Amino acid sequence: MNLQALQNAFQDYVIALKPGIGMRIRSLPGATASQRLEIYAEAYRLRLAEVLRNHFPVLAAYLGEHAFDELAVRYIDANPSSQYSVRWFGGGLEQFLRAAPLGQDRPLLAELAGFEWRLNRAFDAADSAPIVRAALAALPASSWPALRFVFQPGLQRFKLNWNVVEIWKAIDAGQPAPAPETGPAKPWLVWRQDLNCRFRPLPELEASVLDAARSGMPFAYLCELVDRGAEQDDSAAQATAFLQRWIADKLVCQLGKL
Amino acid sequence: MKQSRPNPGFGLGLRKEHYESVLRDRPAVDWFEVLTENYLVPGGKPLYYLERVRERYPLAMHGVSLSIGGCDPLDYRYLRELRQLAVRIEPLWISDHLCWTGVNGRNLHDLMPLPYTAEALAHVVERVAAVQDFLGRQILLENVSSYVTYRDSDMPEWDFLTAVAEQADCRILLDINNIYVNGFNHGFDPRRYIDAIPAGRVWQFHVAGHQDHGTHIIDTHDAPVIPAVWDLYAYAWAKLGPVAAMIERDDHIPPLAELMSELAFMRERVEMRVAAEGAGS
Ligand SMILES: [Fe+2]
Repeated sequence: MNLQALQNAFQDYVIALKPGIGMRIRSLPGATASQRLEIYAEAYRLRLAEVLRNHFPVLAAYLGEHAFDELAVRYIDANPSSQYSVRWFGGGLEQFLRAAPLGQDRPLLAELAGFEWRLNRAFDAADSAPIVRAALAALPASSWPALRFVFQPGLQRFKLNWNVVEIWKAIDAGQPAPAPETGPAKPWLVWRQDLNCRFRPLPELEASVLDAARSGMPFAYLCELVDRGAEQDDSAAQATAFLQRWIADKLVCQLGKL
Repeated sequence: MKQSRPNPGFGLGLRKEHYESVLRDRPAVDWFEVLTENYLVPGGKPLYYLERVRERYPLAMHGVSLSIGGCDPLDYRYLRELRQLAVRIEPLWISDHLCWTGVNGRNLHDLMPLPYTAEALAHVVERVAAVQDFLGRQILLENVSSYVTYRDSDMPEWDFLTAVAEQADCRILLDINNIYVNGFNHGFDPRRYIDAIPAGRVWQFHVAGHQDHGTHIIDTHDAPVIPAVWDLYAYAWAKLGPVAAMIERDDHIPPLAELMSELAFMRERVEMRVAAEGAGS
């Protein structure tokens, strides 16, 4: 058997338990060929399950060891890794759960997985130097309408239908998880401030203004959005307040002009 | 491209559990080995701590994704990132494993054993040359633990490792525990393995703990080093030293102080050996 055929056969065994490689392995005193091969098949699943447990510690605690391990093995068998680093291995778990019977029975599980994955993404997202308030204050008033904003790479906007953040917080603090609750989808924000991951719910208006700002719309347009979106007396003041909060949270890393 | 063999002394694997105490307490570790893939990320804490530790200690880069024996083309995206990280931290050296990790675009995230054949040898030698050209430096390849013996193999592991190093002109990271584990699993005398290794090629030793399952031993890096492995380490040092050495612990990570006392024990083993030889000559 040439090297390529041997690697194909061994990999087919590890991933899909196809027995072909068995013929190429010698049985030695102590353990038979199939016992020796099983070490690899077992180690493969244990190692990747451990990776998932590290990526989704709260989901793992919420589900309990047995149910999480079962989910992990199903995911591993359905999604062989094609990345060089295990860092990316859990990226499909949210989608997988949405389609799996377990996740369809309990839709909050997929949301919880998605929330934890966003924290992971923020954790080692690219560094950026945040804009400080003084930089904004130094701008002449005439340049404000055309001002655009670039946001940090760790920022993620998403919606949640379930109280998964409350559940996450309780489990993270070692407390019992609150009962699942669902309602209309609410906007959330995950980002990294210095080295720490942070998250908060967004009021609807702030969410749509932030989305517009991220898509490159200038400050004048953000004010218009505020004007349309709420009974604000002073839309520029409200848009400025949003912006100041984003700057305080170190979300903005570049200012640009039209 | 050639350097003479540095001997930075006694090291430990850098683990995130120890970042803070390494920076705060400046433990008397001569150098740290870092798992390359943990730092091939865009930013955040891993790179922050890596740079802080690098300001205080020499670092060696130890990878698991090269798949030097794999039949897929070399992953130049990975190699480019590796090279960038090397520019950033100026490592003592870059190492990976004499193994394959997947084919057809898949990654098993495991160090899969190669058959010891002329075909595999030629394949690895060609790829090491390409990698060393790309990185502009010689790499170290580590012997891995294995649980299967291929019918195709027609030379012992030590001959394969030696031939790779000689023909590809690369260095060896000799894992003492893996030799012990393989000796047990495949039924050979670990000293015979060490006797066959060309001394000048070995730039680093790994020493680690493992799990003994009675019928076979699994190289888990999750326990203290056992006396038999310490004996083998002293033997290897006498044959191949002086060589930079470090203790690997990847799981059940104890407080840094516990690893420091294991490291102190490692130093003593070497000093005793050197003293005994001095007295004998
Ligand atoms: Fe090792």
